[in-house]
Amino acid sequence: MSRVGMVTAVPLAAAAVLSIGLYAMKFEVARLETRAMNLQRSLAVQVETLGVLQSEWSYLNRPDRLRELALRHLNLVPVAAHQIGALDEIPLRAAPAVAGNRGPLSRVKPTPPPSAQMAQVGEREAP
Amino acid sequence: MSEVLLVGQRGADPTGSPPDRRVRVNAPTGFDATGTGHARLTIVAALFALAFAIVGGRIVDLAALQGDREARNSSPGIATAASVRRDIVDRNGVVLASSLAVASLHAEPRRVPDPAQAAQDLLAVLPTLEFGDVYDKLTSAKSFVWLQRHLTPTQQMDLNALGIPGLGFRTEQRRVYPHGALAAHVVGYAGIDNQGLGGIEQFFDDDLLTAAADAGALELTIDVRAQYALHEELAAAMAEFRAIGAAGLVLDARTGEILAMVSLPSFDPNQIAASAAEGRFNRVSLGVYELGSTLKILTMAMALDFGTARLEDRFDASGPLRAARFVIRDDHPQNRWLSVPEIFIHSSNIGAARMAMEVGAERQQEFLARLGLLARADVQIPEVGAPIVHRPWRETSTMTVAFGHGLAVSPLQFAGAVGALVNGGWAVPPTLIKVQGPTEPRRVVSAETSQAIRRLLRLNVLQGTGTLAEAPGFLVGGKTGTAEKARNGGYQADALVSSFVGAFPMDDPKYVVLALLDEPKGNESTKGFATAGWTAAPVVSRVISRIGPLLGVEPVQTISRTAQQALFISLDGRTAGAAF
Repeated sequence: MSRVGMVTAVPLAAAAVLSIGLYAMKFEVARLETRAMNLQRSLAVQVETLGVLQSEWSYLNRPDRLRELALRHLNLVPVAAHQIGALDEIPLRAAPAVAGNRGPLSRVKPTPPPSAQMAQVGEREAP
Repeated sequence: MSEVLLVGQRGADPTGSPPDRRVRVNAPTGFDATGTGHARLTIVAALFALAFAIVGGRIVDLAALQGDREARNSSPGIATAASVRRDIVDRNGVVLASSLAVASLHAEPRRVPDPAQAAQDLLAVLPTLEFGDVYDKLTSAKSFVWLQRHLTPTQQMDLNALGIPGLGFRTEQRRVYPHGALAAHVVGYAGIDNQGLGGIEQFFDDDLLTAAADAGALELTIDVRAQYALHEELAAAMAEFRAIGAAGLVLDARTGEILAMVSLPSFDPNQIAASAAEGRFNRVSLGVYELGSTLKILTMAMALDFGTARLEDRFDASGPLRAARFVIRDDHPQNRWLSVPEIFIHSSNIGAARMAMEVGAERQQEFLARLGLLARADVQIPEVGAPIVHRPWRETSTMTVAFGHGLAVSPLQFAGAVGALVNGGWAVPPTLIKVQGPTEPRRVVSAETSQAIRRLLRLNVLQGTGTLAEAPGFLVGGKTGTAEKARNGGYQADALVSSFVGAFPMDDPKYVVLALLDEPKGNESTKGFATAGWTAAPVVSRVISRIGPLLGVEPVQTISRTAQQALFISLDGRTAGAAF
């Protein structure tokens, strides 16, 4: 192709490509704008619903209602002060018996380790 | 012929004149046509290039440099976020007031074809309406009338199904209070057009309406769980002693944050039109009461702080005290000289009056003002009552105020004053909104005075009039007060205000609890007594037992030696320093 031809063809091609790109972009923007608007609308609905649900949740959590439900369905009473203790009031379980090692806690009656109970459960479940 | 054709082929004039000569004849002499064309093209091209550069530059500017801002400007935002009243939540985020979108029914009367039939149909769905009323509205000359505000979704569906022309729905914001009457006096209420008409709703009306959409909820210091415990215990006591009203408060003694504030009878802010004015009256902050002997806490603190009395000092309570036309007597007369702790636990009016006399009227007023008891409390609700103070302040005023008569204050401001006296001596103005950032602490009494008050309050629960306020494990301290209500210039023996103000745990008080019963009557369980020690003190005991674990106060099984030393006081006024 001659030089003149090149000078004409390259801009024409570029213009064509850019036009197609521009149109594609424009449609893409329009599509995204519609999508954004739909999302905004749905967001507004969700926010409104959330408000309703939060009010409903607060309403269902009225202390007098919870009290009534707890009395009817739970075998529990409010925690009394004497039921709350400090960590160092709990006696530690005796250390595993090692020959010759009778520590200061050896007088505490050992309770069966939880692993023993676990083992029983495990046996029953074993095939 | 061939000559002519040949000439035509070369483009030459058949007349024989050479072609280049013709060009020269038509063009002006000395003009270079090719050069001119180039120059013009160059100028035009440069102009176009410049224009494209400007457009291109602007595109880069918009897209790359300011892209974010432009995108934000053009985004529509959440449509409903505007003009919605903010939520109000408690300190743990529990919703106390919220705005919901609800439909309201309106009509354009001129477009309703058959008003009588329409009114009839409407009544089937909305039975609370009056036929005549609806008919009048539908035949009125107005272009717009409300028929029913704030419909339920079911009602809206049924009305839609009627299909009456000329009727329409409009979405409105409706204020709902999920907890109803529980915190009604704190939260307040809003009218049908969303204007705040009481409590926090009124005080923060502008803020609730105009704050930015993403500002979130307005957070109060109230704890719904503590509020419920106080509400329930006060209501039970009110019923048990047939009182006409009750008030209660739980206050953080270190920050002044109000965790619970109850005034009974209460009202349902969801149905404000149906509530009685009596229920809307806030007895905690708007009501002012002569609190009686509970004010002796102030007298003790005052005398100790000014140094006019020490804990070991004794005062003459062997007989009634005469002042002007008054005679001051004791309810539990000991008829002897009493030490300061004895005056406190026997609630001796004579002793308290003598202690106040030594301080003097001027310093007494200065002290009360320092504790914020002579001016309206500064709290974030509009319903705040001004104290009633004797003017002029006579010598007898000094004596009677010493045991709680002649000065009427709101339970709210009194609890704040007690908070300051037990927390080490720092002023704690009661607040419903969390204190933002560190505030300049203001000392009102010395740490030693505060320590002495802690000892006296604890002693009163162990050995004095407040024994029924004890809650095991929480080291309660407090003072009772039973005052006769003033009417027609005299006092009525059968109309009492029984109150108890306490704090716990007394070795380092975290919370102040106040309970007040308006005109309680004694019954068998109290041996007929309606006094505070029998009626109000047990309320405080039960409230503390319930809220202590909720608020994370660690109960103690055995009182530590340091706590014992901090709280010990003997009846003759010796403290741990002397005893141990």
